[in-house]
Amino acid sequence: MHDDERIISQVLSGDTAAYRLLVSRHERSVFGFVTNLVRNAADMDDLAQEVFVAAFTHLDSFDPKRAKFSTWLLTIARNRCCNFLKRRSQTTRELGDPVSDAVSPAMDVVDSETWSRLDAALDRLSLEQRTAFVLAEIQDMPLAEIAVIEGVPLGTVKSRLSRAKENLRHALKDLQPGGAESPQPASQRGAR
Amino acid sequence: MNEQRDRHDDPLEMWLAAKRDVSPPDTFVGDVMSAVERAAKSKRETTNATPLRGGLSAQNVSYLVATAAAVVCVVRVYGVVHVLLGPTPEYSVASGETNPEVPNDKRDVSRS
Repeated sequence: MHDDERIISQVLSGDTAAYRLLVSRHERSVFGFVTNLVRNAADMDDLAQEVFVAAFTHLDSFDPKRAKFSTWLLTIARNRCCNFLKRRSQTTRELGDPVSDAVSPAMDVVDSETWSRLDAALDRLSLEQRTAFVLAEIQDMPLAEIAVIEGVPLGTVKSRLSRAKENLRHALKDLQPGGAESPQPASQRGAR
Repeated sequence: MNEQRDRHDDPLEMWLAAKRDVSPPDTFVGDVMSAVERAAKSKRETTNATPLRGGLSAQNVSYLVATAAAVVCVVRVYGVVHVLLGPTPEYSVASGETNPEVPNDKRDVSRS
């Protein structure tokens, strides 16, 4: 963590090239977060890039006493993604082109229908539930840090996460043996 | 119930594992650094504006224009106040003062 601060002072003193180290160190977490939240192949690269450029532009406002650099970076990413998703939902109700997940050996075991249902259920979650779920369950981030990123108390994060998990489990329960789909419960449709 | 939940959690865990396994493209860092370099360059250009001839920087031009506009406003306001509160101009007719009347027959209508 101290390394991040050392690199930041280097960058702030004019060594722009040193920023590459910060990008390399955090690219995976930022890209993973943006990808799993936005799930639109055309936009996620640009959004992830924008996060790093915005962080660079406002690097002088980063306060290490308030949060870790990774937390600050994911806060920027979260705000950018939420703004993007709000704009997108205003312009169109369609979900866009979902990311075509790479074919993995796991796909042989798990029915792709199940994953599609889970992806769709993730998209149906409210923004707050979705960000909390992605940060906690996919990014493996501590709940206390998620509370900082979301700007809400720890208890709120826990309840959002719990509801998100419940909604996703619900999506799995809906799957009938043989892959036939059952009608969606009204409570789940209203979860958004 | 728990058995049912575990059965459902298994695909959920596999799905989560796949989600965690997302990697940025190889060119990602390079692309970001290109964008960052552009941002840094434009930031430098904004802060160190190129000086014009006579040591006048482009940033100062806006201040000069604003100052000139302010001076013009002050002069105009002064003119209006001067007209409203200043002494009556000589060309106006003072109250009670009339032009001497000339009878029609004494009016000079000759063309010479």
